[in-house]
Amino acid sequence: MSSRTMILEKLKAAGRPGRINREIMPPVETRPGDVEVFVQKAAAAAAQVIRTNAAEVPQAVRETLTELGCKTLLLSDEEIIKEYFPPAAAEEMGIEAGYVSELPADEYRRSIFRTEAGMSGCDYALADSGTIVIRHDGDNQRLLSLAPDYYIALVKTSQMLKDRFDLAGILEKEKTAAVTLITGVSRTADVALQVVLGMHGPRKVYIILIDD
Amino acid sequence: MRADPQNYVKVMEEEVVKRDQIEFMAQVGAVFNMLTANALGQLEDHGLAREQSEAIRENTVENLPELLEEFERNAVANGMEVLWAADAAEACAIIKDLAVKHEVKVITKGKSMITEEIDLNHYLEEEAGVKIYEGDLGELIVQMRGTAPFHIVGPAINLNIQQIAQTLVDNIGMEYTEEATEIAGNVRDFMRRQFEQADMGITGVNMAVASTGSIVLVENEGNIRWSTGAPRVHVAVMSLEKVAANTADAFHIMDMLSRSCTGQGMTSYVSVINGPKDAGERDGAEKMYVVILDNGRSKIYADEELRQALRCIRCGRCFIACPVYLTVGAYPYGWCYPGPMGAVISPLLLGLDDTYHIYEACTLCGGCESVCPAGIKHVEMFHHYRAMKAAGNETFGASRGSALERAGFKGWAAAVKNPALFEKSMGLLRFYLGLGSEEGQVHKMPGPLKAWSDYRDLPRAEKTFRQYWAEWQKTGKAENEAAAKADEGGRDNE
Repeated sequence: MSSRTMILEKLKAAGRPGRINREIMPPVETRPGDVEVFVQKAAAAAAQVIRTNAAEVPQAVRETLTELGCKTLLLSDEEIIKEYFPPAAAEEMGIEAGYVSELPADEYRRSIFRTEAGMSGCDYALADSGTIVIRHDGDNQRLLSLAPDYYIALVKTSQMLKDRFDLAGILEKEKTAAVTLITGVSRTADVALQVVLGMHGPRKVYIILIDD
Repeated sequence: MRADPQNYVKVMEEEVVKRDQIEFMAQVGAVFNMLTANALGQLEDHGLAREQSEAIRENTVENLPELLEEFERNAVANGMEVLWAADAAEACAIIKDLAVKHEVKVITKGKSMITEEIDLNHYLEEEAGVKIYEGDLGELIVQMRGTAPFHIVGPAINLNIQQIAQTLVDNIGMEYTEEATEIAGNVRDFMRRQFEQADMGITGVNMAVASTGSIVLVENEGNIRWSTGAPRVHVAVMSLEKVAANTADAFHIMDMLSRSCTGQGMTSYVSVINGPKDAGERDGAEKMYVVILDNGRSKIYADEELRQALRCIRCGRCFIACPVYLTVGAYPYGWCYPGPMGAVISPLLLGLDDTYHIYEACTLCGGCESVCPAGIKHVEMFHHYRAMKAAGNETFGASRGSALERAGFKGWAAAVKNPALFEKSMGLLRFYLGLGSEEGQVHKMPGPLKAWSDYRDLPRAEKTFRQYWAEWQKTGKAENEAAAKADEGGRDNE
């Protein structure tokens, strides 16, 4: 008998007088999130939040890159990046920049470990926890928001959901291979309880929040 | 490392003299009790949220086999391969075979307790000749020091900065520094080199979602995102009770987990993994496996009373509510799961004879169950274990107690059922104990009570409670009432 059969048979043989069909607990709906709460929660998790309107996004990105002083930038292949800050905009500043899709696979792999900054859009934001949500597909790679020292996210206020339950309702219906929820900057307290930011993820996270 | 009652006293005596460690852990307890209370207090209705998480875990466990089948069906449809392991040996062998099949040389890990339970690292290093690096900072330090984790969430929380620095100097060639930021930075650089060359990532599973076939992983450091995103093969090892009916249930548990654990409304990263990478993706595993591990859990499941042990979500909230853990630390427990959480699960997985030091060291204060978001009744469980050990229980490895112990409990049972006999025997016991007293304290008790009194002093009782009570009825009560009246009158005048 396979271990699978053995385990499942043992579990099913157990008496289960308390077996009930519980209602799914939260209302699975999509509620809009409060932008002010998002700003406050993301900042509390150590993200730098910059509020701007559509016209001033390129300027906000330029200021951020200047502040960081970085010389290399990788961009996701999303529409939002093409619209607001294509590689040419960075190159004007003397920053070496390009879309992920322009790199052959092995070169992407080499450069993701060596690029100073990564920039992408996101799919949703969760106001109540200050979280950005990325559904990974060909347009927004998993390591782009993890490997570089700095990560810049372009987030629209129209992407704002209330909390995790609103997201749960969406993920229940539509699947991508992976979804990542990012709340501020990675951290550790493993060294004698002292909080150190940027443990394995980017040292700094910038959220450029676009009022739309 | 193996739990061993014979070793308990020796290790405990080594630990309780570490004043710095005990004082530091008291601080850890105080800080995290405050942080978690604050985070739970931020919920709109904490009481309701806790009722819901308890209901989710209870319901999930009751429906376990059906939910596992549903998860498997959907995970396979997502392109994952699901493998089942009856015990630690089978799980290790499965993962070794995968490492060989995929020509794996370097493995990075996301922090996971289940792989500690099956001692996977040692097995793979010895049997598959691979290099394994724990990605979580605390877990990496513990791996290098060759000890068990001190806490299921903060494995190296008991170590001071000098010990941590020296461990990293010795193992990764770090230049000695006592700056936490520099220490973390050194490990960050070191681990990036490993993440870049890793062929396989191994993680645990915080929650598997039955309705979607996804796995949900929570973390703060990024070791899990790296181990699932960079290597070409991902193996997720799942304790079979870690399933949720749907994404909303899983997210509610995740929320209660992070609030109860670190006091965060949301951890830095949450990964929802649905399978191998999509065609258009550059990152993510080409092959993904989920290993569902039983290792004694289906045996627990068969017992309706003990089944609640499987509700645990490994948040670690009970640790900082436990006076025993905060004093003796993790090492006397002797296995990877210390604290009240370990005291519930270890005896059932390892056998009651081999773990009586754990559930008998408990003070039954109930601090753990007062904070458990999964609704486990710890004290009830410890009572069960003690009763099972006294009566003998073949399924859970308890041989019957000694004849002397049985006779003692029999006598006790007879005495408490008969008031006259109880009074007489209490008087005798009081006299008997008083024989070895000094300065009003009983330091040593004779006979079978010696072990108990080795670590405890008992104030000498001059009279039995019933004698005190009779006197109180005569004189004390009237005096006390008069005093209370006088006090009340005084207050009225203010």
